Amino acid sequence: MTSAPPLMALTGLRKSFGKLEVLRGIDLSVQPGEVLGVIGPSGSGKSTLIRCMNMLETPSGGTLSFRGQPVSTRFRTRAGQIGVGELRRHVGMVFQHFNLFPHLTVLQNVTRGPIVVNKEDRAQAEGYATELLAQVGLADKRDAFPSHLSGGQKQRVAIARALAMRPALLLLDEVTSALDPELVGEVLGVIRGLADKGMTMVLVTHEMGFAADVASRVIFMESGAIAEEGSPDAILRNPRSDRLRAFLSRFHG
Amino acid sequence: MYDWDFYTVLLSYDLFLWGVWKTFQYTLGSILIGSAVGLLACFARLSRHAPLRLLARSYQELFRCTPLLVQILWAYYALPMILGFTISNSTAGLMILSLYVGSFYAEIFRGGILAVDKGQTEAAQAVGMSGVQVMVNIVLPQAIKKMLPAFINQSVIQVKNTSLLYAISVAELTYMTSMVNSATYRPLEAYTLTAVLYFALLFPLTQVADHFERRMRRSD
Repeated sequence: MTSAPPLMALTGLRKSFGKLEVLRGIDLSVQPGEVLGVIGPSGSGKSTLIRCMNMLETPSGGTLSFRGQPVSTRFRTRAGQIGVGELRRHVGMVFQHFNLFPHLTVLQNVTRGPIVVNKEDRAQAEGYATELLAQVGLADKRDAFPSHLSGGQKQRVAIARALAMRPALLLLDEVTSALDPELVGEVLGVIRGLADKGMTMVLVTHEMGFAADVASRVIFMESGAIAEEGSPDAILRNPRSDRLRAFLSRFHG
Repeated sequence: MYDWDFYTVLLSYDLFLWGVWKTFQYTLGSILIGSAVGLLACFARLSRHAPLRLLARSYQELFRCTPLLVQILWAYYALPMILGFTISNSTAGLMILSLYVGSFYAEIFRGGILAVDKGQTEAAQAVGMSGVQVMVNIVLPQAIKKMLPAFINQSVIQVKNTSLLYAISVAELTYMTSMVNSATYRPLEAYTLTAVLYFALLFPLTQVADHFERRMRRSD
C-alpha cells in the first residue's frame, strides 16, 4: 500500500471558520483503488475534510495535492499547480441532500457536466449517461424530472452524475443520511458495486456496518483531527481509545 | 345631464394610436435597457469587490429613493446645465426610465439568484463548472423562474410610469391626450378613453403575471 504514489495527499491541512478551528492539521493520503471510510461524531470535521478534497472549502493552511501536484486556489491550472477546475473534473462528489438540478431531466442532470465542462458532444454524453443510469438501475427514468423521484432514486442519479465525469476519485458525503431507512439499501448497493469495480472513494458515513463491509481503511475523526486510523476490523471491532469505543457503542445500541 | 360626445374625440384616433405606439416604444426600450443595467448592477452587488458593490448600491438607492418625476425633470432641465449641452426630451426620458426601472430590476434579479439553493451551485462546481458556467447552466434558469412574477409586476408599473414623460412633452399617450383635449375641450371623453387604453394594455399583462405566480406556487 505504502509504495504506490497516492492519488491525493493532504499534509498539515487546516481549516478555520472565523475563530472556530474545524480541521487542525490533517495528514492523510488516498491510494488508488482504496475505499477510505471516515467516521466520527457530528462536528468532528468529517464533512469539512471531504469538502476540502475538492476545494468546495478552501483550506486555511497546509497543502492538498493530487497525483503528486499541489492544488492551487485558482480555478485554472498554471505553472505546475493544479487549478480547482481541473481537480474537480477528476474528483466527483455526491452530497447528503442530492442537489440534483430540478430544472433538468435525469438525463440532462447526468450529461450537463460532460457537455459543458469536458465539451463532449451530446450524443456521446447521452450514450455514456444511459449506460450509467442502467448501472444504477434507473434507465427508465431518464426523461423524468427530479421532483418525481424518491430519495433513493435521486441519490442514485446523483451518483451517475458524478460518474459521468469519469472521476479518478469519488467523494461521498453522508449520502444516505437524508434517506428514509427503507431506501438506504439501494444506494449502498450501488456504492458497493463501485467498490467491487475498484473505484477509489472517500466515504463519510454513519453506516458503521457498511463502512466495515466496504471500506479498505477507516479513519475516526474527533475535534478536527484524526484520532485513530486502521483497517475496518481494527477500528470498528477492536477500538483502542475510549472515545472511539464510546462513539461506536452508540451505534451498536 | 352631461352630453357625452366621444365622436369628436375619436376623430383624433390617429393621435391616440400614435400615443399608444410611443408608450409601447418607451416601455419596451426602457425594459430592455433597464434589464441590461439591472443585470450589471445585480452582478456588481453580488461581486467580491467592495467598491463595485458600493457603486451599484449607490446607484440603486439614488434612483429608488427619489421620485421618478423629479428624476425626469432633473435630467431634462438640470443635467444639461452640468453637461454644457442640451439633451432631447426623448433621450432624457428613455435614459431616466431605463435607469429607474433598472434599479428595481437589479433587486429583483438579485433576490432570484439568492433564492437558488447554495447546494445547486456546489453541485455544479463539483463537476468542474466555472463561475460563469454555473451561473448560465444552473443558477440563472432557476432564478428566472423565481423572479418572473416580480419582473412582470415591475414592468406593468413601468408602462404606467411612461406617462410621467408628459412633463417634458414626450409624445406618449398621456401627452397626446392632452393635445386632443386642448383641441376639442372634451377632457372627460379624452381622459376616459386614455384610461381605457392603458387598462387594455395592462390587464393582459397582470393576468400573465398572476398565471406565472400560480404556476410557481404549484411547482414548489
